Order: sequence, then structure tokens, then C-alpha cells
Amino acid sequence: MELILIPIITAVLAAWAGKWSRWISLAGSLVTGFSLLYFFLNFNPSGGVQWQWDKAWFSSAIHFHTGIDGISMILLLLTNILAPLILLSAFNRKEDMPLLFALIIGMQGALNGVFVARDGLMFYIFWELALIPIYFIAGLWGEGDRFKTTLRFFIYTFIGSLAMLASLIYLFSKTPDASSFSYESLVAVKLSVKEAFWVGLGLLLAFAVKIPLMPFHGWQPSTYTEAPAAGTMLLSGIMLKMGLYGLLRWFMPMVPEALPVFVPVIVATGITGVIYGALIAIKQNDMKRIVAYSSLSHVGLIAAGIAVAGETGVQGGLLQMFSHGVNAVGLFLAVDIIERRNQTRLLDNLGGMAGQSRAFAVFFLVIVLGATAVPFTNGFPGELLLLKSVFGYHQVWGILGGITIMLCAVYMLRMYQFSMFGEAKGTSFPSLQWHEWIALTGIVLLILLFGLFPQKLMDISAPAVKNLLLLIQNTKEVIS
Amino acid sequence: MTSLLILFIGAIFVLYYGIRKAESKSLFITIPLLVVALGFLINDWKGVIEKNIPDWQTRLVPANMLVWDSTAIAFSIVLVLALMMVFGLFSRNNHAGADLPALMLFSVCGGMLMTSFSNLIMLFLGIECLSIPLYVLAGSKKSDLASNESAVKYFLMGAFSTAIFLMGCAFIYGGSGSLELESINRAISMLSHIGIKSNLISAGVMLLMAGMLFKVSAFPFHFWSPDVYDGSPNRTTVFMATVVKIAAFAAFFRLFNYGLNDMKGFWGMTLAISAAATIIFGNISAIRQHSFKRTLAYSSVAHAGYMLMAILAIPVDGFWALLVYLLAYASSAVCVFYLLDRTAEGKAGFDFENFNGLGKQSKWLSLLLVVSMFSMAGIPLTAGFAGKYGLFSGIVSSYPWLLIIALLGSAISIAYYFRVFKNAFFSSENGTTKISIGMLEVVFLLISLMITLVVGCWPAVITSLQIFPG
Repeated sequence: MELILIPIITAVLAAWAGKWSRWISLAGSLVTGFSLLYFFLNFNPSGGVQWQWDKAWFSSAIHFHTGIDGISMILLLLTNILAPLILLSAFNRKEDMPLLFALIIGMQGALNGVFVARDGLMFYIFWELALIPIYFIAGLWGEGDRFKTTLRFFIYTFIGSLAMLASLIYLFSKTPDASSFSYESLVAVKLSVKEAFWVGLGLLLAFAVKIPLMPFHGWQPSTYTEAPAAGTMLLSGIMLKMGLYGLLRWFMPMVPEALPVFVPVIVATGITGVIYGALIAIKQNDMKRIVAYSSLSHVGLIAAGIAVAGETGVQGGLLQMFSHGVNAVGLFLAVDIIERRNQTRLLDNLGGMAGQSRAFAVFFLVIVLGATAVPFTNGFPGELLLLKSVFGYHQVWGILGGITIMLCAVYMLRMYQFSMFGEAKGTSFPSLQWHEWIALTGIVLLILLFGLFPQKLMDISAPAVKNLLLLIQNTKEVIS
Repeated sequence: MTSLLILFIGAIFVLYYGIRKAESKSLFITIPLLVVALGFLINDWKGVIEKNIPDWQTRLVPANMLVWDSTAIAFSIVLVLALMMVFGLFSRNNHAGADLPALMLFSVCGGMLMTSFSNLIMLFLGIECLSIPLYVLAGSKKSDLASNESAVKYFLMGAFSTAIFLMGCAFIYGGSGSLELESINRAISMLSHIGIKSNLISAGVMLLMAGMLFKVSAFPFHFWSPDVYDGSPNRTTVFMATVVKIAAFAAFFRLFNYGLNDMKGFWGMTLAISAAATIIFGNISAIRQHSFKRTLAYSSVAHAGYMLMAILAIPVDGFWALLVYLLAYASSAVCVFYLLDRTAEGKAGFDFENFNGLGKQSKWLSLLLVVSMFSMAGIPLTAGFAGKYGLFSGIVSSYPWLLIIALLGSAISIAYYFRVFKNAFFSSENGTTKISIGMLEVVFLLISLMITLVVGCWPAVITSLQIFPG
């Protein structure tokens, strides 16, 4: 509850606060972070859903129902650690700032709402709300043909969400007496395979657009490229995880009846996305585009691993969601720092920055290694678990997915080499500012911390994942 | 009932008082008048609830031409609220004489008859009382060709539709022997009980539906509305989009869910197809417009399609959904038309370009535009979403395919609702002249903003009102 209200109230304040808005937003974001810290420290991983807060909202059927379990906790940690870093990264923007900061912090609130929602319609509402700030961030401060890009992005995701709304309403109408939108009662609904297929299709559409899975990725590269740095970080770092989270929490338990149909499709599209994203990333010249396509490539594997619905896969998926969020924000931050100093982010025009700023070179290297999934960085354990689970599902997909690590090394190291080494092409590289130091240090620490101790993160979610899988398994058995 | 008399007598007084004064002066009478009427309505409402009248069907006492039950009062309240906003926001011109405000008041009297009729004759009278002042209002910009065109068009089409409607009444009378809703309902259920199919009644229902579909401008009788909306002066357009629509839907709802409820199996599918076609047609046509006013006209056609879904739902659910939706639509439409009106000052036409640079000019106006547009598009936490949600959940069990079409329509509508954001916020050009807002206008803009947000964040504020006791 606090996690939703504090940021949204802060956002309203910040929007009218003029030049103080950045500090107000930062303070609000940190306060939210500390309240999460309180929850985190008192969190009992095997205690099920905790800190439930349940009040009738729209009607007696639709509640404002929040609660935190292990899976939510991981994503809440991700959101509330990254949000202040993203705010910091935008600190030296000059123009029209109040609104930008307000939108970022508002987004934090909406995302928290998505991750704690225990009621179907509430989940939908926050899902939509998270879309609004990013629409304005990308539209107001984007570059290029931003109106067209943002509108395309919005319509893509909006169609997906409406399909989800249709599925949720249908599920709702099937609960006893159409009486409740709560997670438990929606999960308990028994559907025929045919119904489950259509309901699942609606839900999957929403999540597949957001993740994005292969045929629905049309909005992604251009939106990532044209949105301002803060927007791209929010999108790739946190918002993508909404889709993956939805897949895990809402899609699979709702329609276990039709999972035999869906799982091969998700795995296939996921792995195709992995290869496709990586191959395109290798050919790119624009650094932001490389990162965008690499993101497409990484999330494909996560989706495939989750869809297999084994404990390794889901745990690996959660771990990788966290790591990918951190790495993607790190990468986009690095690209943004480079772009602000050189006024370009095309690899052709860059080079030799390592000699100009060693500190930045080191930071950037760690982030790149994290994204490449080198052992002892945070990318490695998650990727390993995911590959293991996909391999267990089917060897061919496993091998194809495994190629991703190689391809990833190719494009990541290529990007690093071309930009940092060789002849210096930029005139000078002003040293990092204080807020950039903080943001980069935070990200690098996270990368190393969870590279060395991934178990810490996995312990949080393990019981919740077991419960969830049990839920899916039970429904399957009842049917067969 | 008292409020209807107050408005009628008040309208005559306004006409007399304002005969040589500037129109804006009459505002000091019309607004208090409406407030008083609103007070009486709320009082009536309390009375209805306290009397604890059991079920709404049995509340229709024969031989009374009007029945002020809670649905009638609820819709009337929205009606008066909408008119108040129209008056408050669109009274800047210095046209001499208070004829136009008085005509609007007369028209609303007709609207109140439409919300509370229990006899088809009364419904007919209500429609005429509502429409005849409208023909004049549509042509009230006497020197403007478009305004004249829209008046003639509206008059001709309106006359035809009324004739069709009357024909329907006659057939129903022939088939059931009565014009009372209660008796019609009884006759229909009796006929179906003994297994006789009356072609007269069936034909009558279809004709009545055609007449009502014309009034709410739904497919296939919507062709008049874009031209009429576009050509009329802004105030008349917003009056038609809000007040007239509220009255027409209240009447449509009452007629089909009180009187003809037992024939739902017969007219349901036709109405569902009409709703689907209205949604698709309205939304797709709206995308292709250059003028923002015309876009809004088509969007109001699309909204009519959504509201038709309320008539298909289970009556109690449909009533709530319709009430919230009408309130949401009225409060956001009034704001959008207000912005449209103000940004077009000193410019020819109502193009999207008029909104250029609005975002830079005023935070409050931007907020107003964003919230109203979101509400129209049905984005969560605005009243528009609360209404749409009610409509969608009302029909999902009986017409799942209509739900899919409605959702598709919502997705399409984003393309044109958000188009204005491009001009207002994302473009670098400066187009708008400085807009200065009067005190009264600020009050009404705030009221409508509050309605949109409060109902959106917490629709239970309306839907938990104890209208149906027991």
C-alpha cells in the first residue's frame, strides 16, 4: 500500500514543484525504497503472501487487494532499487524537468502496484497506469518521429491490455455468481480446454506484447531508440518484467488447462527471439539499438525458461529478470553518458574513450561483462539455470538458446571495443559527475553482488515459486 | 416533478427577463434555477428511497403518464448537471436576448419527460419538446451557411424519425391495446405465454427501435449526426452531445427494459448488431477526419454504440453502467468542447492545429485535456473506464463477441484521441492564443474534472447509492 501511495503522492507534488521537483522525487523514491526495505527485512520467504491489505474498491467484487510474496518481492526490489538510480541518471537534464521527474516517480508507484496486486482488475488498472507515464516520457522528450513511435507503442500495448481485460472479465463471469476478481477465485475457475485457449490467448497477447515475444516486438526497437534515456531505462529495466511477471503469475495459473498448447509456442517464439535479436544486434551501428535488440534476445530466453514451468526454469527466470533489469539500465546509462559527451552514439564515430576516462571504462566493462553472462557477474547464474531448464524441455531449443551466450559476447564486446578502444575520435571526455558516479557504482555493485551470491536472491523466491508450480500442477491433475 | 415545473416556469421567466439584455446576464438566473431544480430532484430521490418501493417493475402505476421513480430521477440529475456545465462554460457571447438559453431550458424539460415517461404518448411529447428547440438552436448562427444547413438537415431527419416512431407506437397499440408501458409489458408476456406471435407488436418494436436509434445517432441512423454536430454552433453541439444523448438513452433504456423487456430475445440481437456496427463505424470514421470537431462528432457516434450495450445488459447492471457512462461522457465532453471552443477563437475551423502549444501555455488546461481525453478513451482511473467496465461486464455472458468488438473499438479510438496530444504537447509550434478563463468557468471545469477523477478512482461513490432498496 505504502509502496503505491508514496510515489504517486510524490509525483503529484513534484509535478507542481518547479525546480525542487528532482529533490522531492528523489526523496519520495528513497522513502518508498526504505519502506520496502522494512518489508524486506521482516519478510519470511516461506510465509506465503504477506502484508495483505484488502478493501472493497469498485464494488464488492473488485477489491484493492495488495500482498507480497517471494516472487513479488524480487520484482519490488528491482523496481525500487532501479527507480532512484534512473532518477539520478536524469538529474542534469535542463529543460522542463518537473514533469519528467514526476512521471518517473509516478511510474514507480504504478509498477509497484502491478507487482503487489492480488485482484484481477486492480492488476489491469495498474498495468495500464504504468503505460501512461512512459507514453508521455517518450513523447515529450523523445527524438526522431516520436509521435508516431510512441503512438505505435501505445496502441500495441493497449490492444494487448484490452485483450487481457476481456479475458479477465470472462474469467470473472465464470466465478461463482460472478462475485470476485480476487487472484484466488480467478485461479480456481475451471475452464474447458477450448475456453482456456481463448482466455489464455487474451492474457498471452498482453504479456507477449510487453515482453516482447517475437511477432509482437514491432514497437520495441524504435521506441527504445527514440525514447529519452530515462524512458528507455524504465522500459527495458522494469517494464519488460511486467510482461514476464504477468506470464508467470497470471497467465500460467489461470489457464493450466491449455498450457500443453501454449508452452511449445512460447518456447519456440522465445528462442526464435533470442537468435533473431542477437543476429540483428551484431549488425547495428547505433549503440542504443544494439542494447535494444540484446534486450529482445535476453527476454526471449527468460520467457522460454518460465514457460517450461519447472523449478529451475522459473527460479532462473526470476534471477535473470532481476539481473537483466540491472544490466539493461546499466547499459543504457552508459550509452547515455557516452551520447551526452560525444553528441553521437554511432559506433562509427566513437572510439578511444578508454584512454580519456578510465573510471568510466571500468564501469562500462563490468556492465558489459554482466550482460554477456560471464561467471561471477549477475548474468551468469540465471542464464545457466534457464538454459538448463530449456535443455531439459527439448535439446534442440536448448542448444539454440545456448548460442545466445556466444552471440551476446560477439555484439557486446564489439560494442565495447569500437567505442572504448582505438583512436580517440571525440574531442574530450569530461569526467563523470557525482550523480553519474552514484548510479554507476550502484549498478556495478549490484552486478558483482548477485554474481557472487545469487543464492541470496533465490532463497527469497524459492517457496513462492514452489507454491505457484504446485498450483499449476494441481489444476492439471484435476483435469486429467 | 417539482423540478420540471420549476425549469419550465423558469424558462419563461428567463425569456422575459433577458429580452433586451446580453445573454451572459441571464446566467445569473439560469444557474440558480438549475441548482434549485437539482435540489428538488435530490429531495425527490430521498423520498423515493424512503418510501421503500419494492421492485422497479411494479412501481409503474397505470393511468399516470409520468412516473418519477429512482431511475428517472437519477437520469434527470445527470441531465440537469450536464446543462449546468453547458451554461457555465459556454456563455461568453454577447448576443442580445436570452432566447437561446431559454430554448435550452425548454428542451431539457422535454428531456425530463423522456426520463420519466410511463406512456408512449408522453415519450412522444418528450421527444418533440426536446427536438423542436434543438432545430432552432442548430441554426442559431443565422449568418453561417453550415449552421443553416445543419438545422435543415436535423429538422428533416428528425421529422422522419418521429414519424417512424409514431408509426411504431400505433403498431404497438394495435398489437397490445395500450400505450402504457405496464400494460404493453403485460400484453406481451401474456401473448408469449399462450404462444401467439403478434406481428403487429414485432413490427412496432422494430419501428420504435429505429426511431430511438435515430435519436441516439446509432448505426444505421447516424448519418445526420456528423454534419449536424459539425455545422451547429459549439454550444449547441455540446448540448446535443451531452444533454440530448442523456435524455435519449434514458428513454431508450426505459422503453426497452420496462415495456419490452419480455421480448429481449427478439430485439436483442438486432440491437447488438447495431451497437457493434456503430462502434466500428464511429471509430473508424473518426480516425480519418481533419477537423477535431468532426472527430468528436464521430466519437460521439462511437460512444452511442458503447451505451447501447447497457440496454442489452441485465437491467440493474445496465442502469448503473449507463448512469456512470453518461456522467463520464458528459463531464469529459463538456471539457473537451470547451477547449475546442476556446482554442478556435480568432481562427477559421476547428482543426487539430488549433491546439498547438497548449501544453506550454497552461498546466491546468493540459491536465484538463489529458484527463478528459483519457476518460473518453476509457483509460483506468478515469470515469470513462468505470463506465466502460460496467458495460463490458454487463454483456460478457450474453454477447461475448460484442465485447471483443467493443474492445477493438477502444483500441482504435486511441489513434484519434491521442492525436490531439501530438499538437498540444509534442509539437514545437506555437499556435494557441492566450486563453483567459473566467471565475465561473474555473468552477465548472473543476467540477467536471472532479467528477471524472472521483468517479474514476472510486466508482462505488455512485454505484453504492441505495437506489434499489431490498
